[in-house]
Amino acid sequence: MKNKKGFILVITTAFIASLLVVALAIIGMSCGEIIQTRVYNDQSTAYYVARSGAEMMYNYLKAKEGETITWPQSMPSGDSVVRTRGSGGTIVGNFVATADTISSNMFGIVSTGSVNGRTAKVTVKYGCDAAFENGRPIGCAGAMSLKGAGWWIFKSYVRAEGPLASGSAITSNNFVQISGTTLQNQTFEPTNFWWKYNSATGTCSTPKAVGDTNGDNAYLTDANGDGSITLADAGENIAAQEAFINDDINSDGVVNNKDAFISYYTVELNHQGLNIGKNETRYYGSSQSFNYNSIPTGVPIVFVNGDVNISFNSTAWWAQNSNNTIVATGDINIAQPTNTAGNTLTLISYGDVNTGGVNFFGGISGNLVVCSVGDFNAYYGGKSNGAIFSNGQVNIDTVYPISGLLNRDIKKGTTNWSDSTNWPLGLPQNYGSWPLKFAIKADSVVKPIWQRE
Amino acid sequence: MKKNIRKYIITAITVAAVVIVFFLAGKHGRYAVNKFEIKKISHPILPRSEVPERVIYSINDVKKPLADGPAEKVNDLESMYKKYPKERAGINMIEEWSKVKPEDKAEMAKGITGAIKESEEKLMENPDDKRAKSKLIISQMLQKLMASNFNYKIKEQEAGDGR
Repeated sequence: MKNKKGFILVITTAFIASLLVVALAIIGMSCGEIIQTRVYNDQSTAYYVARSGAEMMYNYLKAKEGETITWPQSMPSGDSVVRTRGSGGTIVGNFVATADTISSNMFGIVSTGSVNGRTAKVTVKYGCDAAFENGRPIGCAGAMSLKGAGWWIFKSYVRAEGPLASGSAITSNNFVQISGTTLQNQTFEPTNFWWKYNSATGTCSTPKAVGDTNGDNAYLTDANGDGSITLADAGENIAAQEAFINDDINSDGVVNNKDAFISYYTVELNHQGLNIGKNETRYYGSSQSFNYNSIPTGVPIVFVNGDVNISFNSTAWWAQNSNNTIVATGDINIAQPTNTAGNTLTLISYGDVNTGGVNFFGGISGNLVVCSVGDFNAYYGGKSNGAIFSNGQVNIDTVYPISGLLNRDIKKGTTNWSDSTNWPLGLPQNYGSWPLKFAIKADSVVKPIWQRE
Repeated sequence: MKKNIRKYIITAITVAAVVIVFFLAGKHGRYAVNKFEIKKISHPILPRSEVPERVIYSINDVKKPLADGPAEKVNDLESMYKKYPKERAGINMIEEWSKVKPEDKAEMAKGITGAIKESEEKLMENPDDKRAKSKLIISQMLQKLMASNFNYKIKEQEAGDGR
């Protein structure tokens, strides 16, 4: 019996010991599983927290539609996700969500969720109409004609981003695609150059009286009512005759907008040390043909008293942020304009601006800004981002129907002119700008999962 | 016999107590987890449709400025494309033009020639036809570029003649 008692004790002890071993093994496995589950749990929760952050940022930006906003955007508050249970709540995790532009018509949201040190990042992107101040993609004080071409299966399109604005009628054919508003019969204040240099501000912002080209307050008006200011308006008055001679900058016997144009660049704007005054290094006295080595690096503006022909614009071969402006008293003709992002080529002409090229490598990644006192004509294909405004007519014609090669794309500018440092050099201050409002384009969105459900 | 039964009961109670202790330790101890949460995450790998889109851009990368500095002069477009990266030189027009089908090139040449002829005729009739003049200039410039397969030769020119 004694032996039996001892045997049971040993068996019991062994049984308990084996139970302990099994229990420890189970505990070990459970702990491992628990830790692993918790890591997965945190990672998954971090993803959902990041997703919630992106969604919150989307809603935040959606509420800003119609406003002018600046980039980048970040959430002003609410950077955590709270799970509510009854009246209380538990913070599940935190997120940091930011949004910024990727291009002129696309923005991205990057949201990083964080739960117990585990993070997950969610990135989504949307098409948008970005809000900023720029010029009208295309506008004119006269009539506007847009014409694509088509024959059998061959087609070349004019594709224009609105708003399109004309002081007269806008005509188009079946090969024109316009997105955005089309505004006909608008009233425009003509772009004028009657501006005087203000030494206090360092800008050409003080208006001159029409006729007072040199801004000395001695000037003639159209006294005899013949529609122009000539020496005849001075009569026998010697002082008035002298004032006329001083204001007739180009000595063509009439004081008009062309005198103001020449004076604006070669005198008033030249006060900014641009060397575009007569007899200075960046003043050309006759018509010129430019190519991409013509204008040395660092030269922001040149003045040409005559016509300008440009085979390629020069900006693509400069450093990224090299913008340049070409001012001509005659016509400017530019074939195949190309430039890279961040560059702006500004063409200011007292005559017409004519352009044309091949669409699919006419790479305007930056901006092309046109201000013509005459007409703007665009033939064949090509692309432009920026602002085109003609005080005369606009004529866009793809001429010949070759699909892909001869499409003409006219898109909005990509820089914000409300930042005065982005205002193209030489563009007079009453060049019409246009506030472009922010809007999310639902139709072109690569929707994130939570919007597909 | 009764003593043995008592021992069996004591042993069983001891084993049960140990099991209960471990169970409680698991539920309320250091490694305890919220049962609700564990149940919710049934599988750590997200279903394919729920996997977030692959990050294909970085805003900072997009905004990263190119190196500043003047570009060296080149004599033609071909050498320019060889010398500078795409982000600086832009789309390689020569390469892209070489991909255009010969029949499209021929069609384009035909279209440009036709436009030149038409503009010239209009200018003969009316030398002040500004639209015909501008079309003629652009057509002729484009024709020259096509003739060189867009490998444009650069003419040296210094800015400003100060006249």
